[in-house]
Amino acid sequence: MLVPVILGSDKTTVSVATGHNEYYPLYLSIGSVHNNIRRAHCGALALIAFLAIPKSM
Amino acid sequence: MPGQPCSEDGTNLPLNTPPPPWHNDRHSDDWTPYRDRIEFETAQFLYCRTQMSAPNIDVLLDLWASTLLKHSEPPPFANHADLYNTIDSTPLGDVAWQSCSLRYNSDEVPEGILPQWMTSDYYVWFRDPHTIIKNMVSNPDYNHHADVAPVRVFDSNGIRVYQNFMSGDWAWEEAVSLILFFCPHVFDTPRTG
Repeated sequence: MLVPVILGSDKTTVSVATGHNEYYPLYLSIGSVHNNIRRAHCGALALIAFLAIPKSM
Repeated sequence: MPGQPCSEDGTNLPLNTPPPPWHNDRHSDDWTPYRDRIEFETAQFLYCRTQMSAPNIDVLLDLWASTLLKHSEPPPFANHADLYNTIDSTPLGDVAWQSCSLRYNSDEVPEGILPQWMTSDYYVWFRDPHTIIKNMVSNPDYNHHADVAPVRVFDSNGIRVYQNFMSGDWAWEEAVSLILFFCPHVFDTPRTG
């Protein structure tokens, strides 16, 4: 069975009272699911990580 | 690679074999950690829809409790803390979040003052991707909305039709170049701003 794994990330800047934090959400989907389902909030696109968030901020 | 069904140990099964029953341990009337549907809908109404303040939630629940006294029954929640604790213990999805801490530890360091990112600690929060992928692959909602094998689609004029990921050349070439289970990773690098 072929299960292509699609990962995507983009920087999100979140304003908080103390300044700005930048979160890098990492999303995962699988290539076998049809495009219309992936876009349709059916759980075919999952948030799997937040990368490198500075501890001190 | 025709996308033939197989058993857990990889033995091929006939093409039209239905999947095994989907494991869903929860009954439709199991609202854990809520006692019942009313408790869940009360929490959703107070917390999500009206976004009621904690003192007002306490007032409402006290009134609620007083009307139930004669029946010797408790209201859905004792107070706002009980409500918040119940919401916090609601499982979100079924794959737990984990975290680790990391920092730059290479011997290669520039002379002079180190940039701040080289001396900072960072959190990484993540969920086990293997479990998430297994959950997606086994999700019965995607039945008939997913391709278990690469496909090449042609219209009535014999023109190739590209639609979903598995209809593309990349998936086709990956699948016919390897016989064993193959799980390629496509990376989309983050844009930096």
